[in-house]
Amino acid sequence: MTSELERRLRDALVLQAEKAHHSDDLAAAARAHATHHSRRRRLQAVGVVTATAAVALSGAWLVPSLINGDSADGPRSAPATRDAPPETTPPPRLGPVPDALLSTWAFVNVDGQRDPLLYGFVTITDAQIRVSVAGCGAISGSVGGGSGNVLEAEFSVEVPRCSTTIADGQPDPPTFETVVSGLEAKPRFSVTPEELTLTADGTEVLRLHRSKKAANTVLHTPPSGPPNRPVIIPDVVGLDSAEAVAAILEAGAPVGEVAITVERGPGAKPLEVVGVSPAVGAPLPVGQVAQLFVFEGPYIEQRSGTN
Amino acid sequence: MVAVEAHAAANNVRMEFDAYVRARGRSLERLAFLLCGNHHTAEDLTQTALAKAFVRWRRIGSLEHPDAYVRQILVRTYMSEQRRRSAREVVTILVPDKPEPMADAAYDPRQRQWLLRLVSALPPRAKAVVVLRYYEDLDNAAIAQLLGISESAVRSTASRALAKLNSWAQDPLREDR
Repeated sequence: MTSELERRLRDALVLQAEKAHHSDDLAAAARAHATHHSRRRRLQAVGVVTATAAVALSGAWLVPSLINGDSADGPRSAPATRDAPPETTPPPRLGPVPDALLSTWAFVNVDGQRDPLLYGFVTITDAQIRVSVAGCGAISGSVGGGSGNVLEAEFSVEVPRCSTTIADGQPDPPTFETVVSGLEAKPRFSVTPEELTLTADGTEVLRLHRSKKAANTVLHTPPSGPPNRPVIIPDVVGLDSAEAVAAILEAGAPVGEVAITVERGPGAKPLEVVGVSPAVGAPLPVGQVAQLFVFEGPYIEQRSGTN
Repeated sequence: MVAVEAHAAANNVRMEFDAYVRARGRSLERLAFLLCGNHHTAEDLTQTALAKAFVRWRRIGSLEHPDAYVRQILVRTYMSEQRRRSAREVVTILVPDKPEPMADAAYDPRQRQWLLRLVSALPPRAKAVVVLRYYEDLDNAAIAQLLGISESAVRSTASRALAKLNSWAQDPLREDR
């Protein structure tokens, strides 16, 4: 009986193996995967940085005064920080990091190509850095205390991989059952009033620039005045900034706009809202201001001697 | 100069790796598919294994039998992931419904699928042993080395797996359902 079973097993396995799906370019996929697998190993084995992460960043760390400032003066239309040019004003000190001080939209480039499955929203609080990667998982870690104008934080990055299955012509939600172990790097995360950088083994893997238009932050308050109860943030991501402001004011919350700039364009239209803080569906605490992050176009860095 | 040499060496590694994957990638995908039972997980497993191999390719590529090493990475990655997933998998004692007996069961697709589903219900190590023995045609020594266990453990695992498959195949309760 066992020999018959073994014969049937062999036949079944051989026939079944023929049904295996074959990837078009398995080597390229594996190499791309390896770039996620370990930045440290990648740098040693390949000798070049093959993956970079680019994140759209709000200028939010410049607006704690706006977040915590006096918003009970009634309607204001003048820019909140227009009178304080960043070139002449000393950069603000970072004290205890308020919730969602940094809240930004993120995506990841691999081998110069944007990975459509790895993008999401970054929130940095005084407790953790969390990157909600669209349907795929999260990157999290702890943030140390601020020191002077620089906030430094060590955290582990775990980049999950997604698999998407197609059933009856409809894509299933991405899952992260295939999260790979060992995808950890311990990069150095440095936030200054001018930029945010992420380095691993001395190699810069991510750089975010504060918007040059952060001084144009504007505070809008609803006609009825600042709310005296928490307001739930409506879904305004993807809307034009004017529409988003109107939607948040209609919900009864004061809102500030923060233009954001990225080194590599995230594909958003100019003036499109790419993020909001607190997050959509979250309550805005009394006395605080909802922050809209509006994409203003790719950041062009002026460097001498570069192409 | 050093940077140029390092870049050239990295290119060589990459070309060697690509050549290996072109030659053996499909075989690895078949093995992963038999272990995982579905295309997507198999693809992920293959990529994971190859990614791990890629970062060590300078060493692996110089081995006499790199294929054995990569296959070992793949199977051990599979075992490792199964261990991590075991906590959230739903374990069931039910095996798939047995199809009606056929005249030539060996070539009946329903019988074959049923048998494969029984195999997929085996514990990860038992499944790996069955696939490596009956698909890859590896002997006990090779399987033992690949899985990092002793030959006697391979024999006993295979024996228990076959006994379990046999008992499921013979399960009289299945006839009543």
